[in-house]
Amino acid sequence: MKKLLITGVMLMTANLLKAELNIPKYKNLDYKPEKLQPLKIDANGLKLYIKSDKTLPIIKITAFIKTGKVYEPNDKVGLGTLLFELLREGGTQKYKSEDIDKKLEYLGAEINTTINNEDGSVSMYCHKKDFDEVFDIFVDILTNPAFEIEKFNLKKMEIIEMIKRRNDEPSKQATREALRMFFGKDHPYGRRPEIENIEKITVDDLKEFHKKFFTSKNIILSVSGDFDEKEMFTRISKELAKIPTTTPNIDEIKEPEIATGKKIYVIDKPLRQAFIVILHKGIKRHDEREFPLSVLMEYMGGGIQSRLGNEIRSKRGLAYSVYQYFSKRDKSGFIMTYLGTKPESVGEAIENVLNELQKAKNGVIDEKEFEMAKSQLINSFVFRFENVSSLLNEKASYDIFSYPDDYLYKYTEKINSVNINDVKKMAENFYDLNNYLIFIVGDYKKFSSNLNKFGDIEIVKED
Amino acid sequence: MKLLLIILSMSIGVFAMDNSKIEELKKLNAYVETSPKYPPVIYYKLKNGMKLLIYEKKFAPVVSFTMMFKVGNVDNIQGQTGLAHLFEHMAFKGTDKIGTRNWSKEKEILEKIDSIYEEINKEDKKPNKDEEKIKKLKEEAIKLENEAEKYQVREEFWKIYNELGQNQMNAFTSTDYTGYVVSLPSDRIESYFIIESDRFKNPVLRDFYKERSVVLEELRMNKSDPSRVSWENLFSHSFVAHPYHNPTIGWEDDVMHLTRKDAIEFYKKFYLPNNATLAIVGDVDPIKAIKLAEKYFGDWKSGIVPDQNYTKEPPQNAEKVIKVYFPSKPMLKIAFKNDGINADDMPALIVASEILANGNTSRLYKKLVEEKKMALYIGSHHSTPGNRYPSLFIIASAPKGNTTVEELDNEIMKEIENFPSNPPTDWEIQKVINNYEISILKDLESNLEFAQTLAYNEQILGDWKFSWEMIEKIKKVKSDDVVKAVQKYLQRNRRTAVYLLEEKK
Repeated sequence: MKKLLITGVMLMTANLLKAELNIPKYKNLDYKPEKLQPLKIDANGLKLYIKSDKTLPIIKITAFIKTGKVYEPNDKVGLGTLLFELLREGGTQKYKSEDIDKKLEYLGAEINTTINNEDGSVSMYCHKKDFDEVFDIFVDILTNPAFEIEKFNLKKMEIIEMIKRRNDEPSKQATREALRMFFGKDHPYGRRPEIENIEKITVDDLKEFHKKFFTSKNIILSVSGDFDEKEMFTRISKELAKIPTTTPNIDEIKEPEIATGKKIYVIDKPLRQAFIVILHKGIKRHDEREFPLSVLMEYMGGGIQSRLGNEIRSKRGLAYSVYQYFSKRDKSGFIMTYLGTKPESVGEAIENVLNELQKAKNGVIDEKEFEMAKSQLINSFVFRFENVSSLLNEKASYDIFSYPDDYLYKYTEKINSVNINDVKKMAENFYDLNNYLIFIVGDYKKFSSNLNKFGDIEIVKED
Repeated sequence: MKLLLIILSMSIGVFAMDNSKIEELKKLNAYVETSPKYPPVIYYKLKNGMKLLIYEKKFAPVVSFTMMFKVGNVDNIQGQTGLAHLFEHMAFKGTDKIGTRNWSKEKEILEKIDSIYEEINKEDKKPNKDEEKIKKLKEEAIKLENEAEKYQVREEFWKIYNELGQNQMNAFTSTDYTGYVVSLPSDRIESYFIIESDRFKNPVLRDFYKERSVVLEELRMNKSDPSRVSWENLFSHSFVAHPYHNPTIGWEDDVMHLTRKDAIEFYKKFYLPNNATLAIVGDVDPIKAIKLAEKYFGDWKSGIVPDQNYTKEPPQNAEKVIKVYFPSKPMLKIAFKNDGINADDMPALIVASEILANGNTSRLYKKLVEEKKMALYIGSHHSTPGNRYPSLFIIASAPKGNTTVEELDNEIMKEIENFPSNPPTDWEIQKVINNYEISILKDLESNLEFAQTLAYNEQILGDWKFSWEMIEKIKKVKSDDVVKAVQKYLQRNRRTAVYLLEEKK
């Protein structure tokens, strides 16, 4: 199945044409998500959002956990991944892993776990008639994981195999290695797991990591589906009162030192396409500049109609996939520009990307396209709240990072108040054409000749 | 019985339609599904043959659309593989009203550009081609493209939708179909009809040759991905005569020579209202939607859809093992020819697929991932790459540790060959049924996914109720039927295996 790769974007010019087609004129949507009041479990203060939704006979619970790969010890990178895999697959005190698999798969129910850089989650999904059985497993997974030794060894072996295979997909390789060079190979934002890290991890390490992060202050629950809210709250309060109230003692992450200058790294690989990542310094979490920066990203690289989509893809046919976005962490952030092009056009593509950034930096921002970027962000915001569970999940996932209570409620207002000068200022600050990092995975001999004008080249061996 | 309960409780919450509304819909000649066996979908057919499916669902003020055409890469003629997919890209380039400042002037230039590219094609296909001549012609084409740009509003189609607040706008081309999807705030439904009716009645394939370059980049991206490379090899070596042999994106040599004229011909043949279904799911008033469909799509002229029977794949009568070398770690893909989605024993083959490789309790997972620790993962599917014609039962896996692809393949085959001596238990079969029932509910959660299911079922499989009817058939499958299906289909003379092996530098 082929996909057109897109997120979404901007601009309108032709009011006249619209007149010909008679497309009605709409104001920007004034949508605000419903305000939600969290409840708290008396015994331990665990916070939860509960909302009944009778549209389908389904019940969904997600536990959002303030944890993350960045908190793994430096010599045991991969510990968090192993823990979250084994929560689901390693059995509990009450249930053997085999029985959990059998029960869930027979019912068509699911319990899934995920760990990201700075958060994690454990979620369940089942038919309401199966709630008692599935919820009991869910609670035991959260509170009494067993880490069966057979599964522990199997998962370790799998993660080691994944490490051996980490360079198979060049686009993933390029983005991972670019961030590794950008934040530093040993910094929690840049590092990656190695086989010797995984081999070192013990069951006791898992227990300790679990104990540290799975506390009532660190977990927020979202509960939606076909149930009575009061009954559900009572039930959850009773079962999850056993989650301890200890305050986790989490090591402070150091602010990464980001190298200055123009640096290019290349992994030489005989592929039909070259995969290019360009990184600039971005913003930390909880920085009000995220609103004008969001508009700038949408304007510059939010899809086919963005500046980069227009210049690199549509006008020049240089790429199928080209985009720009920003990502924020507690102590730092980055702006990533990504594109894939044939090896022979690497220089031309980079040149055109940098030109677009330079134009914006010089204050050349198309006013109509700027307005369109704002409209797109404002009018498509409602899609984050398509059903009850996504409404609750959105809220809980921001609470985990201590965003202000009205963050989502005020989001469109904040975007709406961004003016073109704010965006120009962002371009001026963040499109730093003297300090950036370029990472390329591709057939080097086909683009080596005109690359050094963009910076100092270093050939990196893949490992 | 269980399914009945699920659907009943569902219809109470989702769909409280009053009788007067049902009466009004009936007056419009719409068919309202009232059987508790199915979700209450409204079916309406325009006089030109275009079908409409509507499912009302209220929570957020949003609505999703899927426009599905029964045309995919199988329908491309020899030498034009990939055209269905390239046309899909072109369907975002506007119309004679969207994307242009002066259509008549722009049109003249586009035609000039076409004739240059035809000359380029002619020269390029010669055994002793004149590179210098091609270069000059290309320069001439670029000059004209720049001139055309004066009359164009670049990507205006996207601009209009973005201003409206589109979400998830995308399109998909497969071997079997092409689908166009978008979601909008629900007060903008009329705009959808205005734009899409113009899009499919009056498309202008501007910037054709630039977009062809974009698609060639997509092709290069695929060729750099080991998984895609192994799939492409699996399909092209499994099928020798039927067009499932061709990659959906097309053969590179075909794609680089496709012309705008080819695409226009293709459009005229297949983009007909009687070859399309539009599904709408979300915050929508069905009466209003039907009236809008009539207003904007009613004058779209129907036509005769070309015969879509192609060369039948001959019996394989051989076992094929293909070795592909690539700079990545090894992978394994296996295919067995099936007899198509409508074969009487397809429900039994579906059950076999689920028992073999769905989840941690499946037979192949337990044996190969857990017990023997030979596989990193394992999965299967009963019918890939399509459902319009007899297709493939596939298995995908990768070796772990010191296991070789060949050893992994041998173990998988051993397990399949042992299947008849361990017939499926009641537990295994009931697990499959339970999972299918839940998956149908899950589908209902997302407006866009449900719109895609409805449109695909109706337009490609012939009935929007296909998923519900398949469950009923699966419920009737007996252990013995599954064994028979495995014995019939998963045998060596229907089999093609692709070993993707690490190419050492």
